[in-house]
Amino acid sequence: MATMNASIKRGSAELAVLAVLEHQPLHGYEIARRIEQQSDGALKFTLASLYPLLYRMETRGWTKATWETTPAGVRRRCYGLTAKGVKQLDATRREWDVFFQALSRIGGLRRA
Amino acid sequence: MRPHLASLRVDERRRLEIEAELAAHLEDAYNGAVRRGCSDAEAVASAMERVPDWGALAVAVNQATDERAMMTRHARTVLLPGTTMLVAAAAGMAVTLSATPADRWADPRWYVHAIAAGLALLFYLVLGAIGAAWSRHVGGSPGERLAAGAFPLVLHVAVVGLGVGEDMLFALSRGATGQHLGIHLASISRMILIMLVAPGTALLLGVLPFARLRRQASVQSGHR
Repeated sequence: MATMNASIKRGSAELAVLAVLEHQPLHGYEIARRIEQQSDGALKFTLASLYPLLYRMETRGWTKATWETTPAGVRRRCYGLTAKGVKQLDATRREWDVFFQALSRIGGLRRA
Repeated sequence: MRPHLASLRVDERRRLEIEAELAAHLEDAYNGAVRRGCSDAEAVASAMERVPDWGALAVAVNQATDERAMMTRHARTVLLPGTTMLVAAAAGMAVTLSATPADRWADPRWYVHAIAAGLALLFYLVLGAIGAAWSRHVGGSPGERLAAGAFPLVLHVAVVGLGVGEDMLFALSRGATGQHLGIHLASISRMILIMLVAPGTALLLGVLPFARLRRQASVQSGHR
């Protein structure tokens, strides 16, 4: 159960990060801020949960990171989805959709 | 930040990147809290809430970068030498098949076949040795050397799999019976012996000296 719990957590975090990167490249803080905002505070990332995930995604070729300098002259490492990342997002969405449908049938869950 | 992340197992350039990225994140969090009307102390506390445990952060980053290193390592120590040997094996097969006259395959002299088989096994022994030596040269472990040296066997598994599968399908399409499969078991066993066991043994024999040398070296260095 502990393993499943960890894999569910990681899977949901991957989906959240890939989804917020779908439309534009973002840096780490902005990724965490948008996820927190869009989930009404239900999903919060610490540095220890966000950055290892971002590094793994980069290693797997789902994202590509580039250093960018803001108009204020501050350097930020921005992550953008690669073609492989877009495919992964589609696949992850489908997996979670199936997962939620199955849970709904079993547990009588209501989706928002 | 550097003392908190002292246990990171990355090179200096990567360490500086990670530190800069995390510092920028905390700075953004601080600025965000200030913009929301927090005092300086509250903003610092709000930013630091994002790092409840620096040790856990360092461990998690290490695990993520180890995965990166592991993938790169396997590509270097197994896939590159192994795939190169597999391509060499495929090229050797293709050249042999195209260069051998059709009547030579049915040559009645046994020693012609024995010489051909010997040369083929020698070729595979050399491929196994090169694959393992290459893997060892780039720091492969004994298991990785074995995988790199035995990699051309993938090609044989694919060929045998296709052959057996095709034979089964043909038999089924003709209304296969147990007798048919019984007859073909003998030819399938022979195919497995010729296509898998013999080249696999040659490859492993080629790998063996390179798997053992490192062990001997490590034993010697342990005695010093």
